[in-house]
Amino acid sequence: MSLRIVAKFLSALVMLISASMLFPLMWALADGSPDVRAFELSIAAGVAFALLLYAFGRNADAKKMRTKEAFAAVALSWVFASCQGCLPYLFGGYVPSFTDAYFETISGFTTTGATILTNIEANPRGILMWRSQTQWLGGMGIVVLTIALMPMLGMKVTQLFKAEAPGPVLEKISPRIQDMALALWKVYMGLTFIGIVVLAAGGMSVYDSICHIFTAVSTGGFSPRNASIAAYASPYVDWVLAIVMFLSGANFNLHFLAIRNRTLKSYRDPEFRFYSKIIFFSSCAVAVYIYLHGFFGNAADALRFAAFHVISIITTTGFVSADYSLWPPFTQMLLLALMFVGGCAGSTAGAIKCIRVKIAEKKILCEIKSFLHPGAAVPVIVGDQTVDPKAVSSMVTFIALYFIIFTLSVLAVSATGQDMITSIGGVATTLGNVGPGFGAVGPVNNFSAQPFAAKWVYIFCMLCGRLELYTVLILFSKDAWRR
Amino acid sequence: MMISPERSVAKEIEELLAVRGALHAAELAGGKAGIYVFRVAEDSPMCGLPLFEVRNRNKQLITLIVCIQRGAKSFVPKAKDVLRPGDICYTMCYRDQVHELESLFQPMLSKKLKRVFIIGAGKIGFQAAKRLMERVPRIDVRIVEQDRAKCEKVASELQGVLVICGDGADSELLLSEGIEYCDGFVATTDQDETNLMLAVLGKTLGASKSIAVVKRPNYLNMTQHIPVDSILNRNQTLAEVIIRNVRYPGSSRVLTLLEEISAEALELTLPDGSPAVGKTLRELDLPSGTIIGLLEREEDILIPTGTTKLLSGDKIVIFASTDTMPAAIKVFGEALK
Repeated sequence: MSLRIVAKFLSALVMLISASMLFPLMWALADGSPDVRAFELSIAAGVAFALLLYAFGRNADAKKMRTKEAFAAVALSWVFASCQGCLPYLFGGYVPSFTDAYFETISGFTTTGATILTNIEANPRGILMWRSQTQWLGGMGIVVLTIALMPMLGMKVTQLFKAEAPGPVLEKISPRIQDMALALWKVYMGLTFIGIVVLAAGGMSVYDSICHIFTAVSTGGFSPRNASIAAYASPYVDWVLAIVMFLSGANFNLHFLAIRNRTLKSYRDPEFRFYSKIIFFSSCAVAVYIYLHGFFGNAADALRFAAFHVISIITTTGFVSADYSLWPPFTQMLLLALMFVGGCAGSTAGAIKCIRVKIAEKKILCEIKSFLHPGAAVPVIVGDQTVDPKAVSSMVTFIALYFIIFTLSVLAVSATGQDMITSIGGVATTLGNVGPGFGAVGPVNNFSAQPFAAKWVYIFCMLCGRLELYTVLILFSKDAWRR
Repeated sequence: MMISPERSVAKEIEELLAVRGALHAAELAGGKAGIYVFRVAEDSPMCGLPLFEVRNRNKQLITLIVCIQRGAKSFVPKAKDVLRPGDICYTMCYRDQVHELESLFQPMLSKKLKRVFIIGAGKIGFQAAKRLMERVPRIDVRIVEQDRAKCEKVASELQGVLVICGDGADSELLLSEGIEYCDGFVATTDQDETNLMLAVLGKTLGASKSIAVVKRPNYLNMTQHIPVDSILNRNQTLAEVIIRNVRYPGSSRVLTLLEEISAEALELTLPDGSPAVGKTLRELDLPSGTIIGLLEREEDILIPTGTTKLLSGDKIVIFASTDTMPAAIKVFGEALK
């Protein structure tokens, strides 16, 4: 592997992250708060860091970038961006320990939303804007990465189907990768802008609207309020955010096609239907359950809180508008299960993703059929397209790997002394990039009290989950580091 | 002009499976009526009855027996002729009433179509399966095909069809897939002889109706000698399509060759200037043995009698021997091309 090429790529990224700190700096300057200094120092350090990386990689020929370097560049992007991104917390003394600052930043860039801040509102507005902004940047990175870059690296999450079968999932947005990235960037920006306007129109302050929409479209889940969305106790806010999260958990390709072709036809996509169905039935189940257990006085409230949390969890956002850890066990288990499902491929959501679950389900039905009828030809058909057997096996392997990493990480966290519910909840939520977990890391608690070692396991999980597992694991292969 | 012989054969296969008592089936009047060939079963309530009595007992049926094949000879029946078991009757009938008619000829076979086996996933097998899936609700179609790649392809294209990769002559495979409970068995491999043997096997294993698709017309009469319910000639079906479009004038739509009795059925729309317009059937100078079987006037379909007056725009179905057909259509002002 040529580290110089990777360094050259990372220098540009660090530069970009540093430049993006100008936005929170503006808020800090407007408030005249002490975090101005933190941002100034961070930007200076970032520029120096970027120049150092550039100096190391300046002679590298970027055209010689091979698959190895591309994978390393993608995985290290998140690692380095988080190194740079945690500086404001450290320089300002808002988060004294490096582990905690790094945890908070990678939780931002991976759009997880797990936090180690015990009193969020004690921080100045500049810092909190930066915190939300890390998620927004991470979300944009992941959309461009999964739709535009990963197919080039052979990780065709969105291009599952055989080349000859055309369809909405397969349809190439645009032949050129830059155009494609730009188109998705526009959809992302558009959704952000509309979200901010709609939320602010309902009475939320512009600052809070920006923070929340930044973390809703990226399905991140950071909130500048200690109580998250519950702080507003407003049905309007809940429903607007639920809709934004729902749209952000869907494949951005579909939004783009719908806008370009001015028709909703693209939403007939089988994955989107599956995603919507899961949300509908889960919301109804949770609503009925909590209503019958007398948690909310009226059915409308029960439905609102049920739908909000189902969407928040399945899209791996992690906003909280009520303490679901008090709800009946069944509803909590359902939310835990949804943490594994995740949103659609090509969205900002994490976890396994609907298309993989759907294909696994079809594959299982095919297996049953072939036991009953030995010799029967049983292609896996999703929508009306046959999925390439190779793609099927890679999907199923992915799910297996997901659970292997989950199990090993739960073991590791429990070894640090955490109880079962906490370790399972903590790993499920970080590996799925959700945010709040269960037990000691539940919706009204946070990760600050977790042991040092457990925090690094969570950091590993967030990174793995965000980068489709393999991108990170490739770095551990000897072969990747050979010339 | 588009001719898809596979689709024509598939259409007939579906018709033969839908009307399982029929030996042959052909569409008339755009599918509203048809020519169906039935064998009179031993347990038919019509055995021993003269035709006028059959008509008296079943007044609601719009149908006409245009020809009876008894042993080696065939004849145009008169009202006094008595039906015997084993008679093969060529009937024209309203599509909605075909099952009622079928229950008169073959009381045992008149049941709903549930499971069909198709051997061979070639073009005909594929089209037949596709048509059955589209037209018969909740049908269970099972295709057996030896070629793995073909299996995968057909299974991808026809969702809901069970495609089994195996030998259609493997009776253990057929039994384990439930052939005893199947209503139809269609052999559509590339070879005539294989198809005939497979159809015999299917029938022996318990399929209630067994059909073989063959290319050689000589095999058509084999139904009398081997336990196969229907033998379909794919070339004949194609020939019908071609002759229909080439030999007869534009006003005619459908022609059916009934090769076993050397007869044809032709559908004709009467043009304004036709010499037959305004006349009753009795007044027409039709060659002997010619029958006007059905008359379609606007939305109605009726069986014409000697006193029925023909109007311009009427659609009639002429049934005649291959030799007399040209003379018959001349009466209506049409000529061969």
